[in-house]
Amino acid sequence: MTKTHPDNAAALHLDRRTLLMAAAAGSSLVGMSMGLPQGIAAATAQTPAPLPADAAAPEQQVWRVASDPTSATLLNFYEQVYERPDIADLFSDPLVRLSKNFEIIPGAATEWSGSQDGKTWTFTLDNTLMWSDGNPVTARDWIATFRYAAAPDHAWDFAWFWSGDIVNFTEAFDGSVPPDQIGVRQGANEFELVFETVNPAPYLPSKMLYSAPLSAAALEATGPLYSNEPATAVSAGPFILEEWVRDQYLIYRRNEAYTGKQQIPMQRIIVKFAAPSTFFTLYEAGETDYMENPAPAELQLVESDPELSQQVYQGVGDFRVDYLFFDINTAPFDNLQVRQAFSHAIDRDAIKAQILGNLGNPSYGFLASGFPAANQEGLAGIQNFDPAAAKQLLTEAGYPNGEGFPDLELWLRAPIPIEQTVAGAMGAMLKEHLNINVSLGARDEATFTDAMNAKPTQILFGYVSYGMDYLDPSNMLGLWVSGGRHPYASPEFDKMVADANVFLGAPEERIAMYQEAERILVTDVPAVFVYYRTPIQLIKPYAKGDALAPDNNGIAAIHWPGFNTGSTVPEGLYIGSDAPADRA
Amino acid sequence: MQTATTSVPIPRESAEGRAFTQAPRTAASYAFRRFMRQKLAVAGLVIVVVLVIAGFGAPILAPGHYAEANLMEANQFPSRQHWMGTDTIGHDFLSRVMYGTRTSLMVGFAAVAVACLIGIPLGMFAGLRGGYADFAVMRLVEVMTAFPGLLFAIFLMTVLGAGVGNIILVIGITSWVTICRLMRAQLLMLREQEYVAAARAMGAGEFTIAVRHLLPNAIAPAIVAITLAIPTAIFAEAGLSFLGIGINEPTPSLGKMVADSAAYIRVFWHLGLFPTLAIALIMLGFSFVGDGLRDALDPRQT
Repeated sequence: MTKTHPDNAAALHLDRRTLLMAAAAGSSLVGMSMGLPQGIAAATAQTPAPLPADAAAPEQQVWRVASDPTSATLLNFYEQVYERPDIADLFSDPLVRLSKNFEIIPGAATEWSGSQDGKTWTFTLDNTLMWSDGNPVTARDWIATFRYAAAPDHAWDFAWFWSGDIVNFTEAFDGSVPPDQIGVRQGANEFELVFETVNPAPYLPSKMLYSAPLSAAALEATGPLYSNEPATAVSAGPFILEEWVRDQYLIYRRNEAYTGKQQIPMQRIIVKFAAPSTFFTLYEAGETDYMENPAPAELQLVESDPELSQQVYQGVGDFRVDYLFFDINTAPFDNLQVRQAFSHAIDRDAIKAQILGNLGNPSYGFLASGFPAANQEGLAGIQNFDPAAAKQLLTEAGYPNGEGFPDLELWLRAPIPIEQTVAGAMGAMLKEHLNINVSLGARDEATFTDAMNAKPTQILFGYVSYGMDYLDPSNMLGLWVSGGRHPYASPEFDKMVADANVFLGAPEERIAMYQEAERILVTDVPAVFVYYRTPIQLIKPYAKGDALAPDNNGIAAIHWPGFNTGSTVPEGLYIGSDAPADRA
Repeated sequence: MQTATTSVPIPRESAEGRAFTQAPRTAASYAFRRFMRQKLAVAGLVIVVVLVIAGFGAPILAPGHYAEANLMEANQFPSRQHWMGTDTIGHDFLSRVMYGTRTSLMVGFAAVAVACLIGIPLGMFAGLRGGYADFAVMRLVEVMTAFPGLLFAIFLMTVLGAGVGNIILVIGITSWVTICRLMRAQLLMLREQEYVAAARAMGAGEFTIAVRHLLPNAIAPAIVAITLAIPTAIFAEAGLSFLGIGINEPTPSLGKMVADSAAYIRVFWHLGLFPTLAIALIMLGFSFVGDGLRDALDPRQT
């Protein structure tokens, strides 16, 4: 069994076996250096984290955020990923977590390894973890969770994430094999979990960021929604549901039965539901401790205020890219020239100058600057702003000056103000440069996501964004593989991505393969890539801790994935003694 | 038999002579005079006329088309070039407010027309027929009343989708009840009048009686109700658009403009001020006119 820290991968002699492990970002070395238990240990309940000298009293350790109630119908990741509050996923630890330097570190698994062929992955579970109902956390929980995820009857909106990776997951989701036939099983004992993949999957451990389990016992006894009511809530994570008044507020309290590794200062989390347009007002009034994505006008206010301007943090978020997408199987977007015309009609520099400011940068591809394999400069000439070329292409496609082109509705997914503004600007650009009428149709999260994921898709023309699920090009580009989120299907692109995913040679060659794949994608224009986000966060000055200290790249912000068990953020955040006393 | 007639000549210049030679005043002219004596009603009428001219004349009077935008001129405050400034995308905001007023008025008029098309026939049917017909219509009215109007409208908009046509339909469907009940009450009273019995005795059919005799006599209070229903419908449109389920961009809607301004109002105050003022003026104008009509058409003052 070979275990390698990802940072060391490039420096090692890269034989097949080593590289599999390296790309997997496995890190038992990290685990061991952290002094993690290697044998079966007695479970001990959570003891309060020792607070720094400048911290407020324990009862003041409360983290308050605002969240859009329309996107908060369930707490269950395995029910509806896109309809959870801004803070969720606190009820169990995923197998791995992300450090603020985007390194994969142990979560519920203390170590992991891959087989010679890279198709069997074994995770050793932390045997001290306990559910709050007294049951130990075992492989049985993951098996039940993944079987539930693959069951077709509840149509999980994130099923695509595991399709094509875990053996029989796609087939189970399609209903052609029973969910108990998927490639998730117990290993040598109940603390060993095995995943079998269709192809070599060196990135699989990274994907395990999305593996926080449900309680098999609660799933069986109460059903999948057990965590939505305090009376039935069970948790193996650092928090448990205390109260949820729909559309008003949600409170998590410290799970005193938590036996995991994380030492978390916060005692309670309060999520206040409000319209996104009021988030800034709530923050300014001291009702919340944190907000992200202020509207451009709000950012102007912040930057001109001597106090507020000291509360601005800027990070890379999840390397999110905003883009227009088409149903390329339906007229008029089945015509490449039409899609190319659209791509040349969007003036990204004007959007940056007049709307985004510091909130984002023009994007000419799907991999944001800073993301592995990003090639913004190399792609800049393919979908560049060129209104003359746009008009010419539309004319050649049979729509001179937009004549005969149907009026379009641009679907938006529960847009926040900046998305609404950018969409409006793009609609105006298409009218100005191509004489095409575009109306904006906002939809709620569920309606939009269901329509987008439907096969065939129900959205002809839409505007949406996507951010990474793990730090590897296989994730971002995997979105465009045939059968993925959008109807784009290019055998050439699919092959390039598939080859790169399992490539065991030099990392730079693998990167080049992804860059070539991205070039194919951008050239085929199934989407017009508009900008990548450089998110702004506002954080109260009394919030302190290592989570806000600069990372290895000098970036100080609450790093993705934010305040949940897949992150080190909860451990690295506390409320200072300078916080106002009344923080309900 | 010969009948002798005598006539007393009346001097043409006498007061009595003028009175005699002028056409007798109609109820409408009395109502008009009473309406014009109310300053608020006249002010409301002026506001409505100005708004109608500004709204429906927008294609001619507005500085530009509502969808025209110059992103490089975004977020400008009111100036000589842009009297109401520009919005976050670079639309001329005066044009947007004028076209938005047109949208509001169009929705207001059309939705009330839909409500009338449903409410007046149903109310007349119930009032004239009575019995089971009245029972059935009134139960339907009660069912409609049981639904909170806004929630029902949101439900329908979610089902039907956004758009001017759908919002007109939805507001019309949810606002016919008042007119229906009013017409029913009028008909219950009027159907016992002697002229109805006379018409029936002369062989007039029920439809003829309803349309030729009852409707003209019942319409005055309905006109007041309709006038007051227009601002309500406009406000409903503004509300639905504010909630994001009304009218799609770039078609301007005053309610949506107010909603969109929320995130910017601390800096770009003009984005919230002007559409809010337009909504307020529309509401005020129609309310004043409606109040004035109610007083003017009140038969007790005839």
